[in-house]
Amino acid sequence: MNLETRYRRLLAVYPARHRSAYADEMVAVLMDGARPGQRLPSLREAADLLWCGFAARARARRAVRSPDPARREAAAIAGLIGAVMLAAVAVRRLYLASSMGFAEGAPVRDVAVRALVWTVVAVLVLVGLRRSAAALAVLGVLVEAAAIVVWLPVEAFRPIRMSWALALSLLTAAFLVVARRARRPVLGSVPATLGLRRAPAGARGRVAVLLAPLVTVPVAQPVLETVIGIHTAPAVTAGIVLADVAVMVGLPLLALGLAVAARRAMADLRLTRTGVAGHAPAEQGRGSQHSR
Amino acid sequence: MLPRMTEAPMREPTFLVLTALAATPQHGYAVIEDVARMTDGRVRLRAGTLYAALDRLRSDGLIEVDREEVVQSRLRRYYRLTGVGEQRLAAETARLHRQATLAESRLRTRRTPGEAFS
Repeated sequence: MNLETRYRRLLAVYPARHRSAYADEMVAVLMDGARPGQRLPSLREAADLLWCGFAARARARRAVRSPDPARREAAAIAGLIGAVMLAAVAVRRLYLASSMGFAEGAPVRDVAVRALVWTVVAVLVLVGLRRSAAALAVLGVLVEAAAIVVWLPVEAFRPIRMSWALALSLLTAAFLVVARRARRPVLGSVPATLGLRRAPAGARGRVAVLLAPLVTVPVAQPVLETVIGIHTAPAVTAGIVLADVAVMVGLPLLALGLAVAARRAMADLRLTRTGVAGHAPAEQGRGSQHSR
Repeated sequence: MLPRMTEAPMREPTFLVLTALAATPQHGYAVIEDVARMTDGRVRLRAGTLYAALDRLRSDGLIEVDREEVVQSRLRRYYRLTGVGEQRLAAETARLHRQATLAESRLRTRRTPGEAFS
């Protein structure tokens, strides 16, 4: 094995993107720096390559893990809307229960916890404590699941009837986990989250894309109940569970896919329109010259 | 991570690489030799360090590829300073200059312990 091959082997510690950009060039530099007749890479050169290679790998991994700011802000806004939706539903149910006069005791305890958790999540997003918001949202998913489980003994259809709550909380938690790295750590992000104007370019379109599955979930619930005939079904069968998963996963995914396609189509449209606009002044200029 | 501010001090390899590219575009090995020459052999950049700096400077838009040549079947890519790179290097030079001037003036006004008691 010659020196060049040995150096190429060492360069394998670099991430693929870095290798394809620089490997040939780096080998040239390393060979230029080699003594005549040198057969083994020098220890210091090898150590430096390994160190820098692993550093580049760690950097690449970090870059993959942290989405770009526009996507993060869009996820934060979509997550906020999801949390508000979940809080609103729970608060409304709490209000109805209290106005009907049986607010005390167990029947509404789960609703109260849900209302509290999602309200706090929304507030945390608003004040920019994104990490805490993400953590609490994940806890919120567990609370929603628990709120279903505690009713299971008295209501076998509870998981089916409450599928939307679980789906909505999962989506919200997922958005907030994506958004967990705050652009500004504290109160400063309130205007950024509220005022879409100040969000980074491209966030607005992305919010629309993320909202599509979010608003589809409440629509999917009655669809599901119609499909399985929930009012006449005697018991929860495997078929019903399958239909539940298919509808609650399928419809939001479909909505997401359509929204992504619509956004792409609109971006193409904008591109052609600016293309036309770019040509227009020149043609106008020519037109006026002709008229003279 | 904090955003890299324009006033943040530059690391020495970064500063030296930018300085090497300031006058004329150079390829990787020429940069290593130039830096060694400029520092009287004190700094000899290793390939890994050099390309870590070049990659970062490229993605920050301080340098760009000038041209590529193949010499003896080996790739030589020449890099040059961009307008932004020129500004950053000038700003860093001014900062170092201010610091050096400050230290000089303080050293001049320095009193020896004996003087303080006399």
